[in-house]
Amino acid sequence: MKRILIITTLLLLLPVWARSQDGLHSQAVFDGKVVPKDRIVETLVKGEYLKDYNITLFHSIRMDVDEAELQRISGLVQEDARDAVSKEMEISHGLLSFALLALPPGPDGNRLLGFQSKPSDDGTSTSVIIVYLEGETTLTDLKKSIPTNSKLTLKRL
Amino acid sequence: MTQEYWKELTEKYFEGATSPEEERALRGFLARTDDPAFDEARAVLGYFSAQRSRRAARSRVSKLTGLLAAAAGLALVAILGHSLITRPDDTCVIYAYGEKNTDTQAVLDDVNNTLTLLFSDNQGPDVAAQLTELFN
Repeated sequence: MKRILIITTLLLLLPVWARSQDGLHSQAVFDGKVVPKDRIVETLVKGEYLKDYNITLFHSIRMDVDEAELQRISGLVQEDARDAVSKEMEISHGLLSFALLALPPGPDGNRLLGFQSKPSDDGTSTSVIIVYLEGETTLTDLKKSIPTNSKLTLKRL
Repeated sequence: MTQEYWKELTEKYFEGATSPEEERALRGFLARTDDPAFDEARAVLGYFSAQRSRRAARSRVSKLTGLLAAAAGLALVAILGHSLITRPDDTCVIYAYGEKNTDTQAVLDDVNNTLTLLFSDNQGPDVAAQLTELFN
């Protein structure tokens, strides 16, 4: 009986431990292993707040990076792109500047990864955004649902 | 009932031919009498009675353990099931350079802006300028 209970518990806990995002190469960026957490803006939203987008998880990281960090992050995203079921990528001067990846679906629905980099005016650093999404939505759905004339109101945090 | 009857019943018991009712009656008689002629029967019936009591006690403990284990298992499944069904928990937070911000509107604005940056076709100089301004 005890064995059955232990096995049942482990089986039930398995999906909790095995979060979909954990298998990504770019998870290192979200974990602060590439750029330390005190240099990043991390946004994490789950659940009801996202129902309008038909997603259940939004996890983004914004940061200014140097060339070595940019190379490492773009390398990790390109590693993830190898497993993607669909992708859009732009490479500028040998470095990844934009990517939208639809990763193989996980237990919580579709898994999407977005990446964008923009060099700063003085060329000393690059602004990077990396976003991981989970839910029923697809890349196509999001492109349709995000209005092309959306007014951006980015605030410095 | 005579002593003869009980002796015959005892013999019948040892032959394994007594009915449950007769066995019960015999056990009741043996509990009441201290006639040495029935010592052997008392010892055998007493041994089996003790065995039955122990088995019954073990069975009760085993049933109780089983029920408790089943209840614990059900509770575990209910708790985990609830946590899985309600997953993902509602979370809405920004950690900006190590500082936590739970202002829902600010967080949702950030979500909207980030999604717009990535998924809107309206990616042009204005967006780049705002990004630059944001990070400088």
